[in-house]
Amino acid sequence: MRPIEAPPTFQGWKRPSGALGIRRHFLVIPSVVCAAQAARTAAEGAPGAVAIEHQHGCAQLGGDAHLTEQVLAGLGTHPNVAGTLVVSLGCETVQGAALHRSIAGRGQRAEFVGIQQSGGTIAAIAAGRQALERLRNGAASDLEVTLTWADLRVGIEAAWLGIPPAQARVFSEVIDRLLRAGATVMQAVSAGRDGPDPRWQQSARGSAGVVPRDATALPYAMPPAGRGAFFMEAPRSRIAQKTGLAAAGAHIILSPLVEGLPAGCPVAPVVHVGIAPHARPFAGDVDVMLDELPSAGAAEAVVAALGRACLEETALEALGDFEMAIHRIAPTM
Amino acid sequence: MDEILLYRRDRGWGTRNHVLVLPLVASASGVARAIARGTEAIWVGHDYEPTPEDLPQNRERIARTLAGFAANPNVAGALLIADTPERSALLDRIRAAGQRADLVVVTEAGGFRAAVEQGRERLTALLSGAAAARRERAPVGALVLGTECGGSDALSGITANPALGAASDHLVDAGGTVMLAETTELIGAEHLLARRAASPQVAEEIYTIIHRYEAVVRAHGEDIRGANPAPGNIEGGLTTIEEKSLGAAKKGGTRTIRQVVEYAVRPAAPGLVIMDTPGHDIEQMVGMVAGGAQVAVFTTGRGTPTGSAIAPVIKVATNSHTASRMQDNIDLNAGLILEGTETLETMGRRIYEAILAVAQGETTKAERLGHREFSISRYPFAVLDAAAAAG
Repeated sequence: MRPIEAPPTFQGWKRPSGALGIRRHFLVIPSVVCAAQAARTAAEGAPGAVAIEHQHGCAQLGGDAHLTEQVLAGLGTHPNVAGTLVVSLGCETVQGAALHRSIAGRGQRAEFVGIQQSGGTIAAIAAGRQALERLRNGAASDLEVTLTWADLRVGIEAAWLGIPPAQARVFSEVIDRLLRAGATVMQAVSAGRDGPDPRWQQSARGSAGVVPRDATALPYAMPPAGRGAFFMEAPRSRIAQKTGLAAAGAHIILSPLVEGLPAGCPVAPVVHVGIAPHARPFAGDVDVMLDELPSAGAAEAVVAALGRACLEETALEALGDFEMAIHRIAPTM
Repeated sequence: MDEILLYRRDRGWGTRNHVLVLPLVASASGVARAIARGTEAIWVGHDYEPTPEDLPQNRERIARTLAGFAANPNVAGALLIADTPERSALLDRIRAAGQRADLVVVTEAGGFRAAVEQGRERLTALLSGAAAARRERAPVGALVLGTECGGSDALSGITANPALGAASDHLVDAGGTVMLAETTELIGAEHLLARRAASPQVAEEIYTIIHRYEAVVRAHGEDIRGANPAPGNIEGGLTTIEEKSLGAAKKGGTRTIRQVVEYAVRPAAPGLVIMDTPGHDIEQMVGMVAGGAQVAVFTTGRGTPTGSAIAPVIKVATNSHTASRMQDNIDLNAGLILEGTETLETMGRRIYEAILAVAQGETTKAERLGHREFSISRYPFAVLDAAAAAG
């Protein structure tokens, strides 16, 4: 494999909050599952608009409802999001008006539409479309800026912990390269019933040994306070890991495809690294394929793929294919 | 009216003739959507990803829900989307229930695009099979009605719920099945329901499902009042979960409670049954539809828009204010009872007639708006076991 150079700089935008993003999404968030249909319809045909879907926001116990709220607020203030529209029903547990306040309070350009306030779904959709237009007009004044790796947060899913050493070494080297380039790295570590995955201690350190000695622990979906290396406790579900990393502000997500199917994320481009032999059928869907014995340039190729995804739309983004899952800590009532 | 026009299926009678594209895991949702896009088929997405930590009881609960939903008589054919071949057991289960079904395994198809192409071909066959179906004369007793209330207010227990209860009685008397559900919103009304149980065993089961939910909430160190009544319920004048429950229980009417069934389980015989579901509007609706409901009535005080991908949902407002404010979403206004132009009896009759009309093809507002919310309830079996062990 001929190594491909990773681009050193990226085109991006500076948000009113000061955040630096590599995408210009307009995110439509239903504060509760009951508002999902109106949110989806309002986003249809609106340039740049992405509606997320989730099944929560009501009939949740206190701590669990709080976690949902935190994830939704994290996505709504994501640096790749130029403006956020919260669509609320009006009677739910995670109150849309409070969610909107919390998103706007963090300096994000934000709008709010209530279905019960507006007079039903059709009226709410019309109000939502107008709100999206206001967000677009506002975002037109966002300054175009040049970003470097030091401005970026890279989220990495946990699935590569436990793959054969020859392939795992590639991920260690990728983490080293990213850290050396100044990027912030957030590594998800899945916590099962017996606590965090112990394999993290052995294999996630990176060949230079930078991680995890200096890595700081982050709770699920919590943005890091500064730059450097972090690990985030996360559930086993790969989709819930993506959502948690994105809610913590990951500009881009690295997904090792060890099992299951490729899956996207509403606000951050996802780079898939296929792990052979599982990922062979997905040769056409993954960005980089890691053979059982990866070539010498494999880590460089992964970093280059991350860089390319920062610059241009990924194949999955073009398909509009993304999934959402929010980690739950209590059953639905 | 003793006979109505429905679709005959091997496993009952359908009120609709849908073809469903159903992902078996969350990461197959994108493929399902891409296959269904631009066709007459309906797809749903969800967030369930199996993990090694899943308890066998939860795996079975989720498999039962997916299988029951795909085999609902409103579905003429189902296309399942799986990540790996191991999940083909669910295809066998759905076919064994008498449903026409097919499967796309994305890893076997050779990736995302190949899976979408293969899925399109299989979907075309299912769609042409469905196109041949015609409505036939069927007994009213073939109907299984799901009852639900959401966004409740102080009038729910006074207008819409008892009016729906009158309609439920009509349907039970005609030989049909009525499902009363949302266990968390029966808390406080269990003694009244147990008195109407067909046997001491059914009465015992009613207490059991209530106590189970209470144990789970306690095990999480939470208070059910934190989640229920919800903020909008309180704003609407409801003060306690007991008050909400006493109103909610009226939806099922006054007849004998024949059976208590687990989430997404099909009742064994007609009559009034209780299904053990959460109060979460979507998880409850999915459970009832997976248990065979072909039509539902959903009462609402605050006005909630949700529906079901495959079953018509009739929205009944508890008050005229919501009925006019949310007219995009509300089919019937039980607030007229307060205004004196309707009584509980006449309103009950109206709801019953609406059920029969909708069953025969009249579309509801939720259907016209394209509502297809979907979410599967997971039960905290581990928490329950721990709570039981702790005594």
